Amino acid sequence: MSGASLRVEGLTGHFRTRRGAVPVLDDVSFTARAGQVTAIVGETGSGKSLTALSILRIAPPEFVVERGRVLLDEVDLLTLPERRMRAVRGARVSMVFQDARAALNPVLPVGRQLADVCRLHRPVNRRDAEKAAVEALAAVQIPDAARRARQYPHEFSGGMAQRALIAMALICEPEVVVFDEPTTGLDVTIQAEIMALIGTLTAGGLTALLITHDLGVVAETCAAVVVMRDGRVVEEASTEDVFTRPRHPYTAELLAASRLVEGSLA
Amino acid sequence: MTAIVLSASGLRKHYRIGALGDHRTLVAVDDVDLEVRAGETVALVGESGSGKSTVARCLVHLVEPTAGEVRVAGEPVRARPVAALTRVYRDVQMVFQDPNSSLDPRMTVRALLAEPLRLHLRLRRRERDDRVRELVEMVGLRTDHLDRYPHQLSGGQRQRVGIARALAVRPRVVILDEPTSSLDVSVRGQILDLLARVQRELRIGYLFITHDLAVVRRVAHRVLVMYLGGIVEQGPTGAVFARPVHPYTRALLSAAPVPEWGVRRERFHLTGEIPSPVDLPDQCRLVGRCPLAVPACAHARPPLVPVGPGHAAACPVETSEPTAPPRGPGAVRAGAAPD
Ligand SMILES: Nc1ncnc2c1ncn2[C@@H]1O[C@H](COP(=O)(O)OP(=O)(O)OP(=O)(O)O)[C@@H](O)[C@H]1O
Ligand SMILES: Nc1ncnc2c1ncn2[C@@H]1O[C@H](COP(=O)(O)OP(=O)(O)OP(=O)(O)O)[C@@H](O)[C@H]1O
Ligand code: SF4
Ligand SMILES: [Mg+2]
Ligand SMILES: [Mg+2]
Repeated sequence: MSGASLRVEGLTGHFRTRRGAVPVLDDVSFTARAGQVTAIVGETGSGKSLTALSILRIAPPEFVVERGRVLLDEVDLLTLPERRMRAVRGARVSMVFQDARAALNPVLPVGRQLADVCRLHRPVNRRDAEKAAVEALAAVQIPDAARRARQYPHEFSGGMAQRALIAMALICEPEVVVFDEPTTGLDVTIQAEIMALIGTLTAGGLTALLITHDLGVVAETCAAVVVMRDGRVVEEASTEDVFTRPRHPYTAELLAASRLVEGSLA
Repeated sequence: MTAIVLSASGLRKHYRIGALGDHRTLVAVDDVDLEVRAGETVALVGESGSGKSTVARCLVHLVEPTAGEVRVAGEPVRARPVAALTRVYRDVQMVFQDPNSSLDPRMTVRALLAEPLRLHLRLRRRERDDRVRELVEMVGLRTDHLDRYPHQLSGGQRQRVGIARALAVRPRVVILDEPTSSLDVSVRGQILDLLARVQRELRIGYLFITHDLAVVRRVAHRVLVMYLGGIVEQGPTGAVFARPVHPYTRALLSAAPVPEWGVRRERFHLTGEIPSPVDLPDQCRLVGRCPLAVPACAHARPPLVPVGPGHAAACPVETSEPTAPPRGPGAVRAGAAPD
């Protein structure tokens, strides 16, 4: 895996609604460096998921990007023709969606869906694609992967559906993966395994962007942190700086709130 | 003693899976007993796929249990006539794990919140409108969210609609399946405070399914730990966190990441592959992954035995050790953990 870094610059956009334009993203800029996990944390509804969807150009049609650039190795993804963007999506940049079960097709076996993604981007036959699908499921700790591959999404628990989606995002060995709360439905032991897997992949050059509310995961696995509030980036710094020297009052507030909840645990 | 508002005994749910001629049984829930009292919060934690959501679905009769009995306020649910069932559905509310597929996409937030008020409380239009407005504000949403459809909300905003909907009808017990997973820590704190406030006012019982151990620690009076279909440890929250007995509980508590720079817990590691819940032999479910296993562990499935007041664990190796030292999931860097 080569290392491609991702830079978002001045991303600004709004929703068109019946009541007029609702501004959502305001001059969002940050860098996700190759070989690292960069966290995006912040307020619910602050625009984290929309930023991610905009990177892949799959935001809902009512969302209008007014300006900004998304640079993957100096190429602005926002200006690529859709045909070339399709070759990027899934193959070079992929995403794990926030709501795993809704992102899987309910009428197709899970393994088949993974194999289809694989075949979309790779010149492999069905047999090999299905083998790759089972391997990808096993890599995200799904037990009895061969049998599970033949099951439908409703037969999976919430956490298994989430892991299947992670497997799907990784199956084409992309350079950049955007994870939108990939471990919220997972118990902490499996979460630790998934984060270790992401760690191994970033050590091999993967660029990972991790949207999360779990500051524990951020402290343990991320190199840099982007803090969002109300459509804006209020702080971008190394994880150490964010935890030991937060500059923005909102960052300090988040840390204080997490200590209030987690304090009793340690 | 306080009234039991929700209970299950001998609850089982099996799924038949596999192609024709290759039938196998997937044991999603394997003999679970639980009870929730008025005003009590019981947390259900455990491995992903261990059957927590299936327990919840059996409790509200969204799926028919293979065996076992569910009681609401002391009365068996299955025996009730249909008219009484609608009453049950008011008494027991559920907040689903994925708000995306549990909120009707064709209904606005206003309609989603007004519907239960109309069905269960038979409120008139005027009162409904007022109450709906109260509800959205209560969960920290704005009134301009009322005319939005679920897909026009962020994940955390949708989660709060689900919570408002469940609390709307003043139920006796609410089952919350991962209700705060998409909320930032400060909104999460507000929602937990709200749930506690409503609980004090209405003496609601909560069954709180979550992977967030900090939330468990903060809200639960008691905790049940599930592994592969069964409860392996249960007890008062303080006791379980201070002295986890079952090896799975120890592994779980020690894996919770610490939200501090440079601080890590000492991990208690399980090894090997996570087994699948298909055709399970009659033995401890942790055999093959447990570093403390002895041959006897494979002979029978261990029952829950008491290890302290209200505290029980299903591991004969650990529970027969009379002088087990306290083992909290302590952080490594001394003094760094706030308390
Ligand atoms: N179709 C839409 N029309 C109008 N506003 C929308 C629409 N979809 C989303 N929004 C708003 O855009 C904002 C950003 O949403 P986004 O999903 O990016 O938030 P988020 O930071 O990912 O939040 P969470 O942590 O809760 O998932 C939210 O306030 C949301 O209400
Ligand atoms: N309709 C179904 N058909 C077959 N198997 C099912 C079905 N529903 C659930 N299962 C299986 O039952 C087991 C328990 O699933 P359940 O959803 O209850 O787990 P969970 O503890 O809620 O997990 P998570 O924390 O990941 O949400 C899993 O192995 C799952 O695959
Ligand atoms: S009974 Fe044996 S295998 Fe099971 S948890 Fe205890 S020591 Fe481990
Ligand atoms: Mg989001
Ligand atoms: Mg579940």
